Amino acid sequence: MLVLEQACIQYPGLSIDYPDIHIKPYEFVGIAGKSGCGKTSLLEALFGINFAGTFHYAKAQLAGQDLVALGERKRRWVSYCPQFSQNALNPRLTMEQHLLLTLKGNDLPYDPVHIERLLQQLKLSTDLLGRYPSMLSGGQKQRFVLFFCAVKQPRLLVLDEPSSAIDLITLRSLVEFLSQMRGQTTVLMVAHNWALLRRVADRLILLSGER
Amino acid sequence: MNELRARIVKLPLYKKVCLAILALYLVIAIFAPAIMPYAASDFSHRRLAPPGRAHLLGTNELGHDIFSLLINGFRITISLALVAGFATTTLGTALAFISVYFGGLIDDTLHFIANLFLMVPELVVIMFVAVFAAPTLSNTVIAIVLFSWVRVYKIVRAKLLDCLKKDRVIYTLSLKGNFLDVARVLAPDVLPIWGSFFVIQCNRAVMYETTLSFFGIGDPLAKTWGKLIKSAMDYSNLYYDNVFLWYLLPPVLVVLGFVICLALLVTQEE
Amino acid sequence: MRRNSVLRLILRYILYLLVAILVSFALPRLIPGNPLFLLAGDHGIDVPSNLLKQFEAYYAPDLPIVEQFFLYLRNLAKFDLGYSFYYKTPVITRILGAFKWTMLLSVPALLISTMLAIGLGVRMGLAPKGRGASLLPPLLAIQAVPTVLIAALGQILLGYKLRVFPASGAYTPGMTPHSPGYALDVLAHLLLPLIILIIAEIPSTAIFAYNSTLRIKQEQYVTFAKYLGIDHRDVRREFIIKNILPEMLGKLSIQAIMCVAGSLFVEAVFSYPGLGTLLKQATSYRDYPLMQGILLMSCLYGIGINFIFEFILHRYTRFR
Repeated sequence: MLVLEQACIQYPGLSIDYPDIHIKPYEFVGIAGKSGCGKTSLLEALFGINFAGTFHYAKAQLAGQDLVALGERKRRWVSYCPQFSQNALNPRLTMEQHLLLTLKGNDLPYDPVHIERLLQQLKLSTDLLGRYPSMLSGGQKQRFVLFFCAVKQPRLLVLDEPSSAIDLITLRSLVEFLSQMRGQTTVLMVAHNWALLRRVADRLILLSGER
Repeated sequence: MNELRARIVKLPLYKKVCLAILALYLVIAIFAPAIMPYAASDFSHRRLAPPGRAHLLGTNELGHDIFSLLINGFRITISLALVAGFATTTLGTALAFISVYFGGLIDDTLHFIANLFLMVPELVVIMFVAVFAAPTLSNTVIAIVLFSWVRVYKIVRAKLLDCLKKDRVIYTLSLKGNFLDVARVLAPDVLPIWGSFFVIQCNRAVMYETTLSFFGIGDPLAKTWGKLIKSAMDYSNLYYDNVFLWYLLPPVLVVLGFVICLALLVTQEE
Repeated sequence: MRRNSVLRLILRYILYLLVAILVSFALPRLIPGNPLFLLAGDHGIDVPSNLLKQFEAYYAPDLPIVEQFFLYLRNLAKFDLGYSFYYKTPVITRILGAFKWTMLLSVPALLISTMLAIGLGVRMGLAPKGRGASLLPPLLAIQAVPTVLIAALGQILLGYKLRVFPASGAYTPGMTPHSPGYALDVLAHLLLPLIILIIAEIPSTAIFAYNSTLRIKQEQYVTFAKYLGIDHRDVRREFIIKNILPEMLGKLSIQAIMCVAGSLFVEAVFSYPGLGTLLKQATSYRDYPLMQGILLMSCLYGIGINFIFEFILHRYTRFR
């Protein structure tokens, strides 16, 4: 599903090398490492928009195609759930409007059964759909971000530190949700929380942070 | 001087072009008497002559040489722009200093007046004052200066308040000094804004004068570019025989070149 | 607390109003020579003696200045702005008659130019690799040119040379509102001044929208919308435009005033029978009462517009 060989990210005065990564379809892979070892940088380089460094690699393929050549088309297949979930929602749109726009952008039909199930898995009540971000708690916002990522039905779900700064309910529903995602889609998850990664991931890749 | 040259070299191409054109305008204004083939007041020529060797841009219906009037207009309009631009920017900056230095009631009052001015189209007020005053060039300048300092004031005041916040310690100390000391400390922060506003206000002064002239306001003897445009537009047969090509178009183009170059000079670089 | 701040807002605007009235009263009296009392005969206009009497009754130059001011206020309360030298009719009738033409020109210009400018500014802001910035110089250039010149050039080119549009007036002379084809005739005369006013008003709003867009586009919700694969047209409309709208509302209040001011100059060039042409006649005949009336009306208009917008903004922030 995802192949990465001899990858290296360079910032001015800083260079990070990565081990080779091979991810098979429907695998749940966790990437762990201390903070500052370049986890988020790697995801930004692969899937982000505002990546500031330079990215070198021998091979970086998504489903057999080069990631850079894919350009924006990769958004069809990949859901990238960034760290900044608290500011990721448009203050002037309700959750339902976010949902409809996401479905429209990915040419997906409105499937009430599927949507309700996803919401349930994330412990989100359907009443919340009518709310604006300012009327949601931090945990609810985080789960909605995850919900929008999942509702796209991506082939690859990328999660960047989903457990950072959230409350207990959110953490529990998150673990439950991630366990259910297992076997449904390919998941790549970055976290510094070892316990969480061990519970949900099929295998772990450790970044040493060598530079 | 070297620093200035270095800054000019760094400018994008279009700004260099603007700078060169403006320099040319200035040269023409300075050497206007030498360039003009006839005196501006000389109306002894054949009337409505088409452009030719004797009269580069022909003559108008009163027998003035249009080219000489145009060149004379450089001198009058550009000095008006420089004086009005300088006075407006200085007035706005000075009032902003006073506002911030004294604070309290003085600041409130000035700010109140500035806000009120912003709600009324300033050109209408300028027009009003200029009509009521005696029609002299200096009254036109005074009217422009008195009613267009508001934007300068608002921005400089905001900048000054910002400076006070940023380096509170230094300035609080210096606030114990007298007005001039404080002004000296704050000057480096304000000077760049003063510079760009000077350019903008020169632009506005020409804009306003042109409009005032169009409304027939101002000294009828001070033949600014605006007055030339106005007299061309008042000429009833302007559109026959392409008279407008040498009567109306040259002053219009000269004004366009001047205001556009000034405006493009102050855009922020990336 | 809230009620208090509304009250303060209203009080502040009442103060603005009073100062504006005071200024319009005092300005002509402060200028040396006090032209209001220069009798019209000095300017070559023959004034009938009964009009002169009305004029003296209105301005009462012999009364002490404070009483003059109260007389002025009393007259204002009756919507009495004095008599026009030139037209020899009450100033207020002239102004109201012209006002509707100014509105016919400036309101559509405001709406159309704002919509076009927001569309343009947002597109410039979103253009890849900051290419939108290359449109800034032409916009600044248009902004720097006096509106009267833009209007005059448009009139020469489209009205006189190409004859695409009627070059002046608001309707063909001789037509009345009851003539057949009157509406179409008015529209044909409106088009050229309207287009020119729109062109003159677009740059400042477009540059404003461009700067707002540059800022909003850095917001993380815009990045996330792109990650989600939301259609770029929806990103523009629902994410960018919806979020710059509050700032645009503030800009709109300035623009509503600029549009009327611009309209005055365009009208004056096209002899469009609105306040601009009235102002031009007032200045060329040195019709001081008429000028004073127009000045006061534009002050009231500006203060009124600002009050409305600030009030809306006030309500809006409370809602948030």
